[in-house]
Amino acid sequence: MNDGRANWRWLFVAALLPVLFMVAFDVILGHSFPEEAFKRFANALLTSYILAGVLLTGNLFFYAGSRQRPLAPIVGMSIAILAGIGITILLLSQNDLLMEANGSVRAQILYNIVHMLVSAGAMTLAAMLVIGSMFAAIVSRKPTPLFDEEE
Amino acid sequence: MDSMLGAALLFWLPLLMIALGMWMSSSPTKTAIGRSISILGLAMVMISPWTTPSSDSTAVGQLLLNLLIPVIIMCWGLYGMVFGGHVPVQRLSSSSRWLGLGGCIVAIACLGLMHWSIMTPMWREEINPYWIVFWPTFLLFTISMSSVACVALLTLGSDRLDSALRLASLGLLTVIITIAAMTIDGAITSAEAFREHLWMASADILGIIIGAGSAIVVFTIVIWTYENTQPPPGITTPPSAEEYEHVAAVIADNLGGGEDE
Repeated sequence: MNDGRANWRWLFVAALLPVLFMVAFDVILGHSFPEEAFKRFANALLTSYILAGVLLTGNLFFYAGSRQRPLAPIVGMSIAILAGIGITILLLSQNDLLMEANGSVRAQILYNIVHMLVSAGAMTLAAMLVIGSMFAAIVSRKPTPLFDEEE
Repeated sequence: MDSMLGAALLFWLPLLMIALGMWMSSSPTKTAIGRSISILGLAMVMISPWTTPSSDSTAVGQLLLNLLIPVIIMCWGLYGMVFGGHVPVQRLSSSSRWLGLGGCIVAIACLGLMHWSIMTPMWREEINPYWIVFWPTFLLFTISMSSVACVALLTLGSDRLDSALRLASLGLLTVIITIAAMTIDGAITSAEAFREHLWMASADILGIIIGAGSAIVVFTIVIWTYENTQPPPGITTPPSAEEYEHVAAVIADNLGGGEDE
């Protein structure tokens, strides 16, 4: 087995390389970076930050029973989430900065939530397919014995 | 019913019910209730195109209905592929492995047909707007994950070249499907439109990963700050005579053994 640092570097490269290959192929086909992609990136980032924050705060609340449910971390996370919501509304209110094809800030926020659920669903299904296939590939051959049996 | 109120009660509330049910099901005492709430919420989201047709968000309910059969076939296929192999528990017959592989291929073929044939998920007589979000994201993430899994097998495991090559075939299949979608027009989506959605999917995946990662970093900072403010634990008092007796009783129950041992 190689050392951990080298492995992480390889895994990072492996995650990015296919995406870069696809992007390069698209550029070869004559397509260029669409301006809307930046808006999508920013909306996805802010929405996932808020929803993941809510999820983590919920877990903090439900699993902190053994610590007499301390209030300070929940307040801290609530402030962090509120800051995220505030930044989202502020940026969406700046006319064309982050607004996609939606008529109002509220419509854009609701669209962001549903859009993220669909993207997260696609990512989950893809992860399930790959992890399932990986296990299937691992268990497809007979396990090698750990110790040679004595004659 | 007012359209906004209808959407709130018949789409957004069931959506919250799915999340709440999943949360509750993680508790060992409320698993059954949690699952029931999630399933009820999911069913309500799926029928939302009929219960609240005026809401644009219910297109996602329509998409879920369209994807239901391929997803079930894929799950069944993966189950067969994994448990038809050399697993120590609940092993199925070896034919399950091939049936499972067939199921997965059928599921991916169904998704491909949704792009290239008349099976394309529709919404208000146009292409479902969330399908063109789902499809490129699924393809791109599958390619990326397959690549990561192959490298993980090769670098973290030992003598896993054959497994990595089998897994690479999934990545290669997805690459071929993606390149085909980038160059060959679909039934409704053109190749050029697909390429644009591929950029959006890349932006989406990157945004979701960085956003969720930021939330985890903030969460860690909040917990770390809180724990740092806590006073160090004081020196505890020695055990009382009653506690000693209790400990002795517990040890006596667990030591020794009967004459038959």
